[in-house]
Amino acid sequence: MESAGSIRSRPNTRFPAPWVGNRSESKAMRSNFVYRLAGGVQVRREEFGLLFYDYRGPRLHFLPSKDLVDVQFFDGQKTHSELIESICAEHDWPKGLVSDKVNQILELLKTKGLIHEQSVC
Amino acid sequence: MSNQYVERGLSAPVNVTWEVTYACNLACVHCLSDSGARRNGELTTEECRKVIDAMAANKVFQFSIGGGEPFVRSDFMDLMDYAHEKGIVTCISTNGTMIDDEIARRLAHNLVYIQVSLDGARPQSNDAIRGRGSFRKALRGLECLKKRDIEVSINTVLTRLSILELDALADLAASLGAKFRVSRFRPSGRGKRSWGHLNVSRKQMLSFSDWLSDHMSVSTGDSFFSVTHEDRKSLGLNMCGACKLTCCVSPLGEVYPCAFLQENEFLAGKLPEEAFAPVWMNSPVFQSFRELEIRSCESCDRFELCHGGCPAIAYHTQKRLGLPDPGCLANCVSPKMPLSGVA
Repeated sequence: MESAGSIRSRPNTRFPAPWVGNRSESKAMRSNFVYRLAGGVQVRREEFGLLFYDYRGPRLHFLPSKDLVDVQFFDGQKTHSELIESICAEHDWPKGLVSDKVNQILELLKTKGLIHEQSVC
Repeated sequence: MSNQYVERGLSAPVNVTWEVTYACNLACVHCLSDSGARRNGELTTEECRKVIDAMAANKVFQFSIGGGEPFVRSDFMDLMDYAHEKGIVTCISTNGTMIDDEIARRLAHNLVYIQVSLDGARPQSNDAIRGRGSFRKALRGLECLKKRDIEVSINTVLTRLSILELDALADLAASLGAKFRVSRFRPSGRGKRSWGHLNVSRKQMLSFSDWLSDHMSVSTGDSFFSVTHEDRKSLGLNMCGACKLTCCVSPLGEVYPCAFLQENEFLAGKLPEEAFAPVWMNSPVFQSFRELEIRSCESCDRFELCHGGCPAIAYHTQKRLGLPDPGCLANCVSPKMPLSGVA
């Protein structure tokens, strides 16, 4: 088993996935998009967040997102905006900050070829 | 490698090595599990399906299937189909001698990897280890797999004999469109008896390390990390994954830390009678293995590359855990260690 690129983090007691990003990137994300795992990719929940297994390699990807994004989100049943709203409702966190964090996660996963996005319109 | 997450412990293995039978049509002199005849108590088809169910329920991603020779089991392809239905990737280690067009047709699945073992690039050298006629039959199997465009690796165990033919084996793999993988020889199973005359010398190990650095496409298996140079560290694990990323299920359903530590003192549980999750999470064997520290290696400047190497080799050569891998290239192991073949 080949290990893979780790997704590094610094301690943050409030948000578990402190990737660096900016609001302009966030705005570029489409709220009516859904996200699905790429072919050959599986994911499961771990204490640190999500563990992705990519058949191509095979490779592992560790996403220290704690409980910010659940594995079911990658079934494509919930849109981006629905995810943001559900996280905000559950944790009472500011929408802008949640949106930034989620967008950074999704961009990272897209860049690594682990997920595909699709408009539901 | 995100060691920090792995060392804290995952909820389940990423990969489970599953030796599905002790039965084998060959009798390789270095066989890790001393395979040959089928043994009493091997899991039935229904019990195997329960093992697959248990792994799927625990979200295990991959089986590394071995034996014995898996294709000796008449239900083997059905079991693989069942694992694939559950979404589990299968990496099948085989001697290749039983693979024909029909088996290759059924193996043409996007969740399958095949690893065919060869220990020489010629019939004479391979058959000296694996038995008469095995080279020709394995080549025939490899050709069947090639016709179906199935992803294949040729796996060679590094010995005093195979090290002489690494270039030729790499060329052979390339000619068959296969990847090439070299695994360390470990003194378990029949390997205990052949260790003395087949294990490579320290000089050969150094030579192999250099060879690897010139052949970056050659993979080295789970924990061959301790013999590789800095520039290869991104190509594989830099730590032993036993009880952290992986474990082993024997043909009898016994759960062990890895295929090379199938000893009574490492028995953690038995499937399918016991639920897998408690065995993985709570068995004293696995918990103590996760806490294993190779303290004498921690001050070594190579520690971050290998984390002490392979505990199984240390155990089999020195009869206890917690000692450095004697194959270490940093010369941190005393030359007085009871190793055969050390130059």
